[in-house]
Amino acid sequence: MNKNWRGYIFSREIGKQVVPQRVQNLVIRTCAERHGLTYLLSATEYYMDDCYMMLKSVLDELGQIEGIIFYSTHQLPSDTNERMKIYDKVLNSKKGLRFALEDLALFDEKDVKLIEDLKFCNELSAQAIDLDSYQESLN
Amino acid sequence: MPLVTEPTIYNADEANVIDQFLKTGYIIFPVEDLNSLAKIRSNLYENAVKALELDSPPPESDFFDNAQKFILPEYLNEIRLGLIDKLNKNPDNAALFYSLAKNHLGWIVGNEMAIQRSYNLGIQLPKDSSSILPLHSDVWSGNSPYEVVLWTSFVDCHKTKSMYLLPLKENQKIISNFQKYSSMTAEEIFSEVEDKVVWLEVPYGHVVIFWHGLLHGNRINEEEKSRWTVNLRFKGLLTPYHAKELGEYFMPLTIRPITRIGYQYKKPKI
Ligand SMILES: [Fe+2]
Repeated sequence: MNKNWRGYIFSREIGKQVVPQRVQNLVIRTCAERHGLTYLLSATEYYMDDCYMMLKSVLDELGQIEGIIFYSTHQLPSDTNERMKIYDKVLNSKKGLRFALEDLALFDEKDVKLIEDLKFCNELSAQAIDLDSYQESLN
Repeated sequence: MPLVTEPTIYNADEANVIDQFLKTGYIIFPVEDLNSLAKIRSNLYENAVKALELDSPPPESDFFDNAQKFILPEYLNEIRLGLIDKLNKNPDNAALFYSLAKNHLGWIVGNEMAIQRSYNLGIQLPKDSSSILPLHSDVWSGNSPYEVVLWTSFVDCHKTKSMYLLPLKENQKIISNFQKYSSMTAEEIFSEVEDKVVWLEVPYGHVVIFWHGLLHGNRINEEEKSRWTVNLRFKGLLTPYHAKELGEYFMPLTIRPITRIGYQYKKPKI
């Protein structure tokens, strides 16, 4: 079986943090090693907000590879429909996605549900007021 | 004077637990499902006996307390990490550990929760200095303050075989006077608070839930028997996360239907 997995990294913030590309690649490489996969040089997404041009071209390449290793789930588009299109494309081609930082994988509908739960719960919890801001609001 | 003043909202058990937790930041109680605890312990026993390649293993009831007879200190960490890997790979464990304290977690944390993804197994052999955990608060190193630890023991724990913590009131004093302590080492802070810390008395069959913002740690186990414990964190699913993120460090454990319906709701367009 073809075990080639394409890395996918960002050149913009990931979850409000800039992660050096070298670090993103290291985390992806470790993930590939842990699962015995061949890691193909990462595609680097453009830095413009909400731009997924590189991801789209990697998705077009799915016929030749087993799947895509994202550095993190935080790189998925924030638009639900856009994410659904990506999942559909991957699952219809019987391929997979991996998220190196979280060591999670997406191969079926059940995995989609978990990744979507994470996405929404992360968004909601980020809206919860944190302790520091709460205390500041009292002053 | 109880801190919970609305008896009509909470039933008596719930009010007692909430009251105690608000006063001290921790609670020790009998597990809610003893079968689950027995199951976790026998899995752990089987894996440990296999990892140690014991020819004539002692019965489970003797093994944990007497682990110092079977584990050489130089292999302790390797064995421990191997057992943690086994704990992490068993998909039944989340439900088993949750069932030990389902009601208490519901009362203290909530009914939509996230659970830590990895199980932290501690093995403290008598006189072993390699397993000391210096005094610390998890909130100082990346955990959010919206989390508790479920501390499950597989043996009777008391004195230095157990762990210590600084109860909430004393803990608040340190935090509000932090300037004084900020240049001290963990050991120096420990000597300052040594007479105020509580060594947890936890007989087998009991568990502890504590707020990991309390200063806590353990010393060299000066008792004659070994300690085996697992600690595992729980938090309100939608409460703030710090450096230990949902997805990476925590996973959703319970998501209630209305949260799902709510997050899928789309505002009608005109
Ligand atoms: Fe801790």
